[in-house]
Amino acid sequence: MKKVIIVRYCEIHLKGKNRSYFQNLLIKNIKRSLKNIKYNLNILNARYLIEDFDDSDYKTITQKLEKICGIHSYSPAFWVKSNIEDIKNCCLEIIKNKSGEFKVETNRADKTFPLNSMELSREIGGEILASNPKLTVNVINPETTIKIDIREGGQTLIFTDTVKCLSGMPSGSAGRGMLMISGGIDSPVAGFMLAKRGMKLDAVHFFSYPYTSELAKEKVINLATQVAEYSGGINLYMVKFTKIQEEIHEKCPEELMITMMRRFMMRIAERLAKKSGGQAIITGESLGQVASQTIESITSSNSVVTLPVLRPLIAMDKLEIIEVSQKIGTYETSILPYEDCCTVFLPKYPAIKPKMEVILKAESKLDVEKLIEDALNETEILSI
Amino acid sequence: MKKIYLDNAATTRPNLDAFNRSHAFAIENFYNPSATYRDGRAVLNEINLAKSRILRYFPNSKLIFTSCGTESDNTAISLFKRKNAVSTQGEHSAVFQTLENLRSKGQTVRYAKLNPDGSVNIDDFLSLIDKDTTFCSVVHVNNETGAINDINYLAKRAKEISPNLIFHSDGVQAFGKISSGYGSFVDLYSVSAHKIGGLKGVGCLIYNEKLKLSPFMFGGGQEGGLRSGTENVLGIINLSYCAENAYENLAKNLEKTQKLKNEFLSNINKELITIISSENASPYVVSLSAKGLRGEVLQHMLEDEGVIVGTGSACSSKHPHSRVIKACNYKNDILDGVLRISFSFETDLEEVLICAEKLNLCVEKLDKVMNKR
Repeated sequence: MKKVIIVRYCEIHLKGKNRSYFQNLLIKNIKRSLKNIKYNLNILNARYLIEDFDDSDYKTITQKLEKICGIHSYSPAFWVKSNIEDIKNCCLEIIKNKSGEFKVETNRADKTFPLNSMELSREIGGEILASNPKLTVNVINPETTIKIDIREGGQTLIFTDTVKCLSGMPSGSAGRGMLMISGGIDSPVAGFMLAKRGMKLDAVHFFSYPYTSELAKEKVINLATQVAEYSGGINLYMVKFTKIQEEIHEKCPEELMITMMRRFMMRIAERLAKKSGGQAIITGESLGQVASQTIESITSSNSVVTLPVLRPLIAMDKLEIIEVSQKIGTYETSILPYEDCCTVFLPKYPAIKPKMEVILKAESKLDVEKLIEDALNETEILSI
Repeated sequence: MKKIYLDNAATTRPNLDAFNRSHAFAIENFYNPSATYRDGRAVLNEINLAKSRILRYFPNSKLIFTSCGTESDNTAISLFKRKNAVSTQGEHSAVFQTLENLRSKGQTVRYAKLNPDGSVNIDDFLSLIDKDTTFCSVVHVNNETGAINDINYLAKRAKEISPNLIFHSDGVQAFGKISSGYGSFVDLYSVSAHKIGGLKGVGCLIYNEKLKLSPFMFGGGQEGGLRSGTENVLGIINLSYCAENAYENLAKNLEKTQKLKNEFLSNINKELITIISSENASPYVVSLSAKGLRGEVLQHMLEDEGVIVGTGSACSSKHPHSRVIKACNYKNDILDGVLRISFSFETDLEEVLICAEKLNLCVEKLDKVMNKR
C-alpha cells in the first residue's frame, strides 16, 4: 500500500491529435513547480501519479499543484495491487476512524479483474459494514465515498477525497502576453486570468522615482512574484516613467494627464512585448471603473498600438475582482498603501471622455519618440 | 559621494568608543548573569556597575533595563489600572498606541492639545486632569518637532490636582541630549540606547526610588523580579558607556548642536520652506515643511544627492500625514511637505551646510516642476 497523489487535468482531454503537446507542457510545468522536491511522476492514461515523496512534503506539493494552471483536481490516494485482499485491507484502513454514511464506488478499467464493479463495491461495502459499527450505507448522498479505480497493469487506486484546482490550460500553451502591472488590485488578477488560459506572461511596471518610493517598487515585485506562481515565471520590466510624466505635466493640459500617460504606457508595453516575442498586451481595465477606463479613454489608449489588448476584467465589478484577488492571494499585497505613478500629478478633474483631436494636439507638443526611447533605455529587467 | 546622515532621531551611528569598551561582553564574558558561579556573578556585577553609571545622572532613582524605548513605555503604562489617564496628542506611537489599546478596552484616556511647535498646551493638559486621574504620560522631547516639554513642572502641577497620580515621560529623544526636565515629580522615564550611539535592542526605564514598580514581563525573576528575561549584557554595558559619554559632554554637545541648527536654518530658502520647530526646541531635531510639495519626494531627491533625512509623511493615501504634526494644527499643504532633519553628537558644520544647500536645490527644483514655474 503506497501513498500517492492522483493529478487530473482539465480541458486537455477535449483535445484531439495535439493532446500530447498540451500534456507535455503540463508535465513540464508540474516538474518545474516541484523542482526542489523528491518525488516520481508516473504518467497514466488521462491522469498522473505523484509517488515516492516524503510525507513531510505532502502539503508543499499539494499547495503547488493548486497553483498550476491546467490541473483540474488532485486526490490523496493509495496505490495497491489489484487483488481483493489488498483492496479490502486498504479500504478498511482508510475508513477505520470514520463514522456516518458511506458508499463504495468502483471503476474497472482492467476488465480482467475477476469481479465486476458492482460486485466489488458490494463485497467491500459488506466488509466495511462488518468492521465498523459506526458506519451505515447511503448510496444516494453519503458523507464518505470510497473510490476504487482498478487500472490496467495490475494496480488499483483507492481514495476518498478530491480537491478541485484551478483548471484552465497549461501555462505556455496559449502564446505570450505583456501584462501592465500597477500595484493595485486589478492587474494581478488580469494576469492570473490569462495565465489560467495558458498564456505565458511578461509584465511591465511604470514607476516614477523620486515621486514614488522604493517600497512601491518592491510591492510590484512581490505581486509579480505571486502571479508568477501561476504563470510559471515572469520577466518583469521596470520602466522609469518620471521624465515622461514631468514633460506631460509641463506641456499638456492638466486634465489630460492620465489619458496621455496611458498612451505612453501602451506604446512602451507594445515595444517591450514585441521585443520579447509577446503577442498581446494585458491590462486590468474594467469598464468605467476610473476616468482612464471609460470607453473613450480606452479607445484613445488602444489606438496607439497594433497588438491585441486583452482586458479580462472589462465586464467585472470591483467586488468580483477583489474576490478573485483574495482567492489567488494578491489582495493583501495590493492594498498596501504605497502609491504608484498614476497618483503623481493627479489632476483634480481628469478628462472622462477625452476627444481625439484634443489629445493629438496636446501630444504634438511632446517628442514622443525620444521620450519612449529614453524610457526604454533606462528599463530594468527582473526575471521572476 | 560622501553620505550625509541626518536622520539621527530615527537611530544614530554606534559610538565606537563605547562599542570598543563593551564588545568583550559579546564574546569573552558571555556568562549568564543569573548563574551562581564566579564568571556569572562577575557579569551581574558589571550590569550593576552599568546601572550606577547611568543613575549617577538621575539622583534618587532606580532603573530596569528593557529591550527598547517601546518596552519601557509599555511597562510604565501597565501601571495605569483604573479611573482615567491623561496624555498628549504629541506622543510617540509607543505611548499613543498603548494608551489607545487600553482605551479600546474601556479605559478612559484623554489627550491634551498641542501648540503649533508640538509642545503640549499646558492649560489644556491641566484642564483634563481631575482628582480621578491616576496616570499621566507626556513626552519629554517631541520626536517629530523637537519641542521640549517641562515635564517636572507639568508633573508638579498635575499632582497638585491629583496627588497620587503616576507621571511618566518618554525621554527617548531627550536622554543624554537635554539638560533639564527629569526631576523629583517625574515617576517614570523611558530611554532607548540607539538614539545616543548605543545598540538597537536595549533601553531602560528609570523610575523614582519611592515608586513601587510592578513587572510587565514575568519569568525567571531577573532585575529583582521587575523585568524577567536574560539580560542583554552587551547592550546594557554599551548603553552605560554611551550614557556616560553623552552626559559628560552634554553642555558642550548642546551648544555645538544649537550652532548647527542656527546655521542650518539661516541657510535654507525660507520663501519655500516653513520651519515648524521653535527656536527653543531641542536643537537635535528640526522639523520643516516645503509647502505644497511632498516630503517623501524631497526625501528621495535628497537621498540621490547623498543626504539622508527623515520625513513626516509617506506617499500613501491611507495615512498621508503625521498624526503629531497634524495635531499642531497645520493645513494639508504643510503636512504634505514635512521633513525631519536630526543631528547627532557627531554631525559637523560641513554636513549641515551641504544639507541646507541640497535641500534648497531639491525644493526649488521640485517646486519648479510641480508649480510649472
